Amino acid sequence: MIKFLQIFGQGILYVVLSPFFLVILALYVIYTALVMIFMFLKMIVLFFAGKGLFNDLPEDIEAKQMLEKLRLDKQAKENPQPQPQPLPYPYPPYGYPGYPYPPQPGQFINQAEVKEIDAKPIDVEEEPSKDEQ
Amino acid sequence: MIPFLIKISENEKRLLLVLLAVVILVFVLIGLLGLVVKRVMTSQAKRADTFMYDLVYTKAVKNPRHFRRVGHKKNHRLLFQQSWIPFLILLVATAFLITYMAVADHWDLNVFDYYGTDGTDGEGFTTLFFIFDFLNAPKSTFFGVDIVSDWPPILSSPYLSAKAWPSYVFVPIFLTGAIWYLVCVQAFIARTWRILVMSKKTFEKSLDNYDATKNPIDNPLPPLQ
Repeated sequence: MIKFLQIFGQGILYVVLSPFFLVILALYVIYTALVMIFMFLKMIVLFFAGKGLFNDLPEDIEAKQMLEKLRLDKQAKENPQPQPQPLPYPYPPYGYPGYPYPPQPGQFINQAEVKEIDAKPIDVEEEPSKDEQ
Repeated sequence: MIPFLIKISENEKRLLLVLLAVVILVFVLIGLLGLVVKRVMTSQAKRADTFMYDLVYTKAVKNPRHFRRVGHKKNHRLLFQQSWIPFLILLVATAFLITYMAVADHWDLNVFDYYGTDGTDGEGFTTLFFIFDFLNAPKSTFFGVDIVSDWPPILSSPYLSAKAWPSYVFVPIFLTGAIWYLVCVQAFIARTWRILVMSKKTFEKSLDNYDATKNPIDNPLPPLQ
């Protein structure tokens, strides 16, 4: 019953305040229409400047960088990376990362297809042979 | 004088009860409508929390003023994102009507006309509805006040009019765009209010539950083991 009376009272309040609500709504409709036109013009200008209207704000970029840093820190804490070992001296052995084994005889190496092209003969002035002389 | 006023007939009693019930029902319905609008606006305002959460969490916004500046900027962007379609619909509907009026050279077109010249050739959208004559509705006098006591006479019944085709096209499209746009504006107002409230609340420092004796900064001595 109290709830019912509350809703009834709110109904009276809304009726009394409705002109104010309507005025506020009308003002916002005008304001938002102006904002829409302004944003549209801004979008066109930014388009020709090679930018977008919905690009990240500087605060967004800062927040993203901060979140990425937090994520990496958390990841580093959870999975600590082993320290890199110094390179053996004078040369690392085959199989060491970055030093693959040399190809064995007969081993198929998957390399890019080489196109055969017709080589044009190069016009070279041959020296007259000794017989011709 | 007063006993004379209290004397009311059985019919008047019934009318009074019905009137009271109707008034209560109307206000309760308006109250319920207000509650629904309030809940919808609360849920619409949550969108402001979504786009400001990361900035507050990472302390990219430094103070209430900064919060409001970034919040309003994002709010305007979201308004543009949400309401360009209804805005376009409104523009298209208006352009259609103006083009029609220019081509037909009929600048005094009334899109709400229901009568026309003889009640059969109206040129407005209301030709599709019942039109009641509320001004001449039957009334009863109750304590010296005239109150509507029956359905008003019908001025026009629904009919299709060939002359009203531009109104049939314009009014539904315009109303769709207008209602959609109003919902977007309502969401914009809700988010604006939320930004204003949260800009203060997020950076608020309260001394309500502060106890200086328990604060380690104020008390350099280490806690007793």
